[in-house]
Amino acid sequence: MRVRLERSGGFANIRRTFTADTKTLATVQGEELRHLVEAADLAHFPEEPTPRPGRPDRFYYRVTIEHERAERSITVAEDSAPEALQRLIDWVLRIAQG
Amino acid sequence: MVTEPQPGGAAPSRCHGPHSIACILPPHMLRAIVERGSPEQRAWALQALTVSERIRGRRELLGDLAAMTALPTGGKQRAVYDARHGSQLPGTLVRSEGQRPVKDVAANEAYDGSGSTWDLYHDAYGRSSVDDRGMPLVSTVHYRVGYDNAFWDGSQMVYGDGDGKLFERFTKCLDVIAHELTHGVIQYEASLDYADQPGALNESFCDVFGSLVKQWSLGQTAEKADWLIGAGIFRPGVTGVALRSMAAPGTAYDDPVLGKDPQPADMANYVETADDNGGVHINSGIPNRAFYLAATAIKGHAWETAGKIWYVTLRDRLRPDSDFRAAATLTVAVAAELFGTRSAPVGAVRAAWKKVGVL
Ligand SMILES: [Zn+2]
Repeated sequence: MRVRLERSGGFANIRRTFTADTKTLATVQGEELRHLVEAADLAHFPEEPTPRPGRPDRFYYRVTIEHERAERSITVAEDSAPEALQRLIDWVLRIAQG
Repeated sequence: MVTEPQPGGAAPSRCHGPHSIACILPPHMLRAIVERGSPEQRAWALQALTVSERIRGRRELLGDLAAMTALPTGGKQRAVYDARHGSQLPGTLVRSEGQRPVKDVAANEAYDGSGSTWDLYHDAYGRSSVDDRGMPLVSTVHYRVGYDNAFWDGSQMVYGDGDGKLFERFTKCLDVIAHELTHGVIQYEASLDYADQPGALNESFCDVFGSLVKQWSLGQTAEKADWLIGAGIFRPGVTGVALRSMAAPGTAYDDPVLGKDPQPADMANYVETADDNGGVHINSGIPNRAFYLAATAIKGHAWETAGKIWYVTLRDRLRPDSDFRAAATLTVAVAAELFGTRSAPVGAVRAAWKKVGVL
């Protein structure tokens, strides 16, 4: 399972991509990632962010889960990510940035 | 039919707040109360007038009224909080107005930077804080872990520490702090939609006053200023001087990891995109350069003439859906009103918008 996180927007508006892949992660971390993805439940999430006017300089995250040839992508404004999704985002950022 | 309230008497009983009063009392009565009522009555009458005058877009009336009344202005009120790497706002109070510097550099930068921003708006444009009503300036530092961003959340400023590899802490740059506070000013004034051209104008006005606060604090003339936004935010090793260049949009950075500065310098290179709310941080390069061209043609301290024109336009003329062309014609009109139809600033502002292809 691979999780790709594309961050855009923000004050700098510099697009950056972070990934976490169970193939290259330690077993324990791989399990952690699977749990976080399951909890985030992206299958029941709208693909595009609900427009929220007047939120200057906030990040947007595009989260893509690749798993057994299936792929699921959603985009969310950072301040409207539900807690479980936010935990997944934080985890991938932490792992990818070392 | 409304009973005329007697100055010194009680407010009509059917009024329960400034908004309902504004709906009931005609402005001339409210003005009479502002001038002659008790301190409490003056306060609510002024607030009611603020609401109704803002609805009508007649801010000039209010300026005189605010000057006539002896309402406490409150002065500068700053408070800096520490999120301690969490996401709860505002966090723990670490420094408030008048207190001595603390050990934390970021907290002191947020305190000093919001102070400089308050000072420019006050000293150059007679504005009392973000809302022009003395609103306290609240900042939170150390938001989340390694957070590469700063933002205005609708009521306060929030700063991350940066990841430490590519980005420094976001309080390091005074123009970043002033940029965020200007989002607050815009919220209370033109309220420019945060998408497409109005959104790019929103971003541009933030960069303009961000740069002006920096120039003002350094006592720089337009010729001496670097016209960069976020100079010093990159860690060593990143190929770039800043996040944006107002003088030469598109040239601020070109780095293997961060990519290349995508800003256009004129309308011929306007970027149509769905990303970034329709490219608000991208196409802002066009009005940014127009301001730079106008200010350097006028010469001297940019906040005095070009800045004043942009400020009055933002406060009194722009509307939520204003586009680049509206900003251009309105800044030319404001320049004519402030300095005379045939004045040098009018010519400079018009030439600047022509050069970037808006007029
Ligand atoms: Zn901004």
